[in-house]
Parts: sequence; C-alpha cells; structure tokens
Amino acid sequence: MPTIVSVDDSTVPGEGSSRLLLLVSSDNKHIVVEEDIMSRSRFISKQVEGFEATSQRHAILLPFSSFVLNKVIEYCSHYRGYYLLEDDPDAAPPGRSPVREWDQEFLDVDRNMLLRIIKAAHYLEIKSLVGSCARAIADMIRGKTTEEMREILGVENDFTPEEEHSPSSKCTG
Amino acid sequence: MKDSEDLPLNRSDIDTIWETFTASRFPSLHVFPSCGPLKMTPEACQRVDEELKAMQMVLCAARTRRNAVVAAISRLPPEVLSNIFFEAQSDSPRKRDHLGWINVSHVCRQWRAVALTNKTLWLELPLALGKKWIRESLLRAPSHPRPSLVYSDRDVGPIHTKYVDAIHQHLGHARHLHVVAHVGFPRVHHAKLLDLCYGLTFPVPYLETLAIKAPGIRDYALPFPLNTFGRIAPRLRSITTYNVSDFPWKPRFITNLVHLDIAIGKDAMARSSSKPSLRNIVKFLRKSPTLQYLSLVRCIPRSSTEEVARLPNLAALILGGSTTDCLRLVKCLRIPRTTKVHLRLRYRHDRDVSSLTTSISNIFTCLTAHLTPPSASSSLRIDLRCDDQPDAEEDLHIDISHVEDGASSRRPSVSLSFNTGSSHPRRLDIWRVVIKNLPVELGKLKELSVVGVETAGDAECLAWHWTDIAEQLNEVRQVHAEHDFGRALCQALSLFRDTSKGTGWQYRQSKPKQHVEAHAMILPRASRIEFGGVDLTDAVVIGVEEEAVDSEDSAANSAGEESNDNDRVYRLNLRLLLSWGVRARVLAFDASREMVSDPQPSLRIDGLDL
Repeated sequence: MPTIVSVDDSTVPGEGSSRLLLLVSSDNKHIVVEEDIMSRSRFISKQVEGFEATSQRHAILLPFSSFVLNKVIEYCSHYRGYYLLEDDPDAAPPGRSPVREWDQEFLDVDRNMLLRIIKAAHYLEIKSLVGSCARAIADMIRGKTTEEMREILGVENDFTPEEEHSPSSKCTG
Repeated sequence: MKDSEDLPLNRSDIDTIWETFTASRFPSLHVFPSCGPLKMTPEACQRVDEELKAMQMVLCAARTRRNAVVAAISRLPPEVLSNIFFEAQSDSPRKRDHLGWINVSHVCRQWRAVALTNKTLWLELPLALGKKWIRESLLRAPSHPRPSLVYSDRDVGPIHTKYVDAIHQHLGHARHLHVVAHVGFPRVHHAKLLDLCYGLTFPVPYLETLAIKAPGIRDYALPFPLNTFGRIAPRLRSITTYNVSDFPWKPRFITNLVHLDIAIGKDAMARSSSKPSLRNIVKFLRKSPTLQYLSLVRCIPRSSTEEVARLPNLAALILGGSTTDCLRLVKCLRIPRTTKVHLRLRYRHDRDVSSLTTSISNIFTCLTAHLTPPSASSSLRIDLRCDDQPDAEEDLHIDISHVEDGASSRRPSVSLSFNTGSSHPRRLDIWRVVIKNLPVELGKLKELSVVGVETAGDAECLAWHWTDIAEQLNEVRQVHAEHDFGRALCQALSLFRDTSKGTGWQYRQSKPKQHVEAHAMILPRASRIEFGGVDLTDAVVIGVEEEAVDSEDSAANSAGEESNDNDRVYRLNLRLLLSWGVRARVLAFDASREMVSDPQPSLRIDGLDL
C-alpha cells in the first residue's frame, strides 16, 4: 500500500478546482503535477477518488526516485488526452503491446533505468507504459540463448543439476 | 584469495579454502591428503555425496538470493515478468534447433516458474519443436483454444508428416492457421502439402484466420478438399491463400468474412483446377457484406453474370488478371466511393496499342464513382509512372485511392503504372492513348505527377505528346517529378515554359541538339513545381550537372550555362529564374545523382546578382 500523509492545504498548489497533485518521490522530492496528466495511472486515479470521498488533500508518497517519477510524468504528459486501448479499464485486454515510435525513443535508456520505469509503471498501474517497457525488454532477449539472456540482464544460473535436466529443459523434440 | 578476478582459483587457493572452510564439513575426507588413493566405506562415500549435494543446493540457494537482491529484473513482480515473456514470444524464431521464447524458462528458477505457470504463453503449439514440446504445451494449458498453428518452411524446413499430423490433430481447437511454403520442394514434400490440404475436413469451430501460402509451387496449385472444414467454420473471418485452388465459393458456412485474399501464382495458374463461375463468386461476395479487404488475383473466371454484390464496408479492392476479366467483376461490385482500388491488369505491350483504348475507357467508366471528385473543391491527381520491370507479371497497374486534402476533405488520387520495358518503341503511344482516354473529370486535374518518365532519345517526341494533350491539362497547378534525375527533370521543367517570352528551357543531347521548348507543353496556370519531394517553386537556380561537353557546344550554350572546375556544365533556366523571382537558394544535382541543397547562393550568372 502506498504511504499517504496528510498535508497542509497551503503546501499544495492548485487547491480547489485547479486539480493539482503533489507527488513525493522516495528521494523526498516534491513534484506538483496536474491531476489530468496522471489520470492515465489507475493508482493515482484511485487515490484521487479517495481524496474526494474524504474531502482532504494529500501528498502521495511513491516508492521510486524523482528521476524515475519524472520519466513517468513525461510519458503521461506526452499522451495527455490520448486514448490508449491498454489504459482503458473497460476495454477488453489487448494482445501484444502496439509499437509506438515515440515510446521507442522515450525508452531508449539503459537497462536499469528501463527496469525501474517498468516497475514504477506497474506500481502506478499504467498498462500502456508497462506494455511498452515489456516490449523494449523483450527486444533485448528475443532470439538470444539462455547464457546471453543471463549476461544481458545480470541473472545467475541458480538451477540445481536435477532442475537443469528436468523434462521441460530437455525436450528437444 | 584471487590475484585477479579474471584468473581462476589456483592450487594454493583451493587448499586454503579446503582447510579453512570445507574440511570441517567432510570429516571422512579430513584425514586423507587432497590427492592420492582413498579407502572409504560405502557409508562414508554416501555421506560425502550427500554433503556435496547439500553444498550444491547451498550454492543454488545463494545464487537465487543473489538474483533476488542484485538482478533488477528478478525484483519485478511475476505478472510483469510474464508480460515481458509474452512480448518476447512475438516474432520469436520457430526453428527446430531453437527453442525461441521457451529459452526464458532455462535462465533461472524464477523465470522458469513464471513461464510455466502462465498458461497464455503456452497456447501456441510449437510445431517445429516436435511432439515432446507440443505435449508440454498442451500440458501447460490443456483446456484453452490454441490461438495459432504456424508452419513456415523457412523456419523449420520442408514440411514433414509430423507437422501435417499435428496441424490436423489440433486444428479443431485453433484460432489461426498459418502455413507458408516459400521454396520449391521436391515432389515428396509437395505430396505432404497436398496431404495437409486434403486433410482440412475437420470442423473448425474456433478458427478465425486461415492463411495457406505456397509461392514455391511451380507446377500445380494446392487444392481445397471437397468437404472443407466439415462445413463448420462459424468464426472464420479472414482467408488468405496463394497457389491454392478450388476455393469453396459455394458453401454457405463461410459468411461474414472481413478479409479475403486469393491469388494464384503465374506458374501455377496453368494447371490449376477449373475456375468457378463468376456468378458463384458474386453470390459468395453477397453473403459477405462485412468484407473490408478483397483481393482476387489470377482467379477471376471468364464467365459473366448480371448478379450484383454490394460491399458497403470495402476499404480495399485488388483485382489482378486480364483486363476483360477484371472489368467483368468490377461491373458486378457496388463499393463505396472511398474504396482504394488497385487493378493489376495483364496487357501485353506487343499487342496493338489501340486495343488498349477500349479497355482503359471501360475501366474508367466503371470506376467513375471513384474518379468523380466528391466536392467541387477537390481535384484529381494523376501519377504517370513508367516502370521498367521486364519480369513483372502485369503490364498495367491502376491505383485509385483518396488522399487527405486539407483538414477534412479527401480527393481521389489515380495512379497509372505501365511496364513497357525501356526499349519499347510504342511507349509514348501508350501514354497518349491513356491520357486521351481519361474521363472528362480530367479537366479538373490540378496536379500532375510525372514519375519515371525518363525517355532517352524521346524527349522531343514526348514533348510533342505533351502538347497534344495540353488542352486537357491546362488546369494543372502543381507538378511533381521524381525518380529520374536529369532528363526527367528537364522534361518536368519544360512543362513550365513561359511561351510569351520565347526563350525556355534548353535541353541538350549529344547529337542532334534538341530544343524541347519548341514543343513544350503549355501549363499557364502552373504555379508550383516539386522535384524529388522538394518544392522548387521558390528556387533561384536549378542546375543539372550533365556530362562534359566540348568547347564548341559550350560556347553555343553560353547564355544558359556555367562550367565548374570539373568541366561540367550547369544548365540554367534563366526564364525560371526570372519568373520565379530571386530568393536565396541554390539547388543542384551532382554527378552521383544525389540532390545537394545549399542555402547559400554559390553561382553567379551574368546580369544577375544572386
């Protein structure tokens, strides 16, 4: 569950109808963002609904750094007002994530950053961003051998010899 | 411990580890030296083995912990990891010697657990990997309809009985069947493909997409069986076949198709089974008013019918074959004005050119609805394209589509493409016939695209034809030229000759010297010219770097030329300079035929200060 702390109304810009949100990153950076921009995040939307129910404004503490948060905000800002099927809670779950040129450029970051973004997107429940990140990571490993995958993503082989020889690893037709 | 991370443990390291860490765990081995013969009881041996196993487990557990802490990807929630695998599955190689996406289940324990527990990852049967993996796949997701059965010879080699059997066995619960045989096979493999097709007699209650393509077939087309799909295919919406004949046009079980693409290859056509009647085809189409894409190439029969099929949702219509056959089918179709039409017509250019006149005229008559501009503000655009592809199967391509024109309106765009061969003597005759026979709406033509009309040696002749049809093109306001630098540009520019001033573009050949301007077409309303995608309307200087000329010729053309250091000649159209106004821009075309755009003026011409 996210940590939500009550804040003094005066610290939150955009009180009342201005609809601004205060997001606090794990490195304690305060970022003010329009609610409309973050409406793509189902997590944020649920928080805002909670605010309206209690008539209290809160800062939303998020468990990732301001650097990652800013990237997510950049994504949400770019698609502000756009309809993306993946983010429609009423739409049938789409198949594979569509290729969006802007996303490919946006996600042209190093591996660790990409993993942080997908984790943040998952936390914030932004399915379109999760899908785009998943596609970017999948592109790294597609067609690679297991050893290459381990090397690319820094994973150690932790199978026991028996597990390595289990049927699902030795089926070769 | 280690001198360098790159070096393996040396002997003294191993001894040190043994003494300080491991020896205490192996009391049975403690009294013996690290090398030399050992005499141990079976019980002691078993204890050692168990201890080794335990240490191995410790090692694995430590690696698992290490992954969880150090590897960022291992800290992702399982559903996210599953999402990544799902994406990795698409376009994953399907080869006999490559597990493709399944390799993710061999990376580490966490990945394997995620991969094995996600049923959706196992819905595509890995035909290429054989029975064991098919069984594994069925084990993982036993009750789900299979989304895809995919066989491609490029991935797994020539089709084998086991693939055929697997397809037949699982087609009943598949949603998509894709079979592609690209290369020509020996007869034994052709027989397997025949087996595959003849076996398509099972009901396919889940099948949505059927694609069987055999471009590698060189002798006779594959057949659909008589009792195709046991006449049960309620969800079938998309059919694509290539070199598969005997499509079941009659049965009622295939209705509400969205995509129908049937083609017979050039080589397979001769021995294909008898074509259906046009009446059957039109009747079939009437039962699929949902069609959005219809492509019939070399499978249109020669018969005729009065039946009519309305296809109100059709977005694309592609017909290929003889002009007459296509024409007959076009007459039977009622399609929206916005449908993109592509006709690939066989017309042998060695025939009498005049026979083309009737065909072209009839086609445009049939397609009048598409050619009529939907509103007064719209205009036609005609692309005249002369492709030089001796191996092309069709000689005449007609494309009719609609292009966005401003914010809301769409205008028809017609593209005519001929394959006449570079040396065909009647090429210009064909052009003239086509242009002369375009419909009345041509009078509204405001854009002319001259694509690849490179006619070495024909410049004067072509100009004459331009003049011949100039009356029909006098509304042209924009000209696009591309594909061939040099002469095509010259000809495109010649369309803009300012006749009132006398001097125009001078086109020069080695022998004899020709002056295109004497015959150039008059386009008095033209105000824009575009070349190679670049708007030249505001260009100041247009230079075409041609072959070097001798000094005599240079002197003769001194009014319009300037030599550079390489003794090449820039041919400059002074009339264009004067009429388009002087702006700071120079466009030139270098010898490698790549356009060079220089924002700064770099040429001086007598009497003109650029």
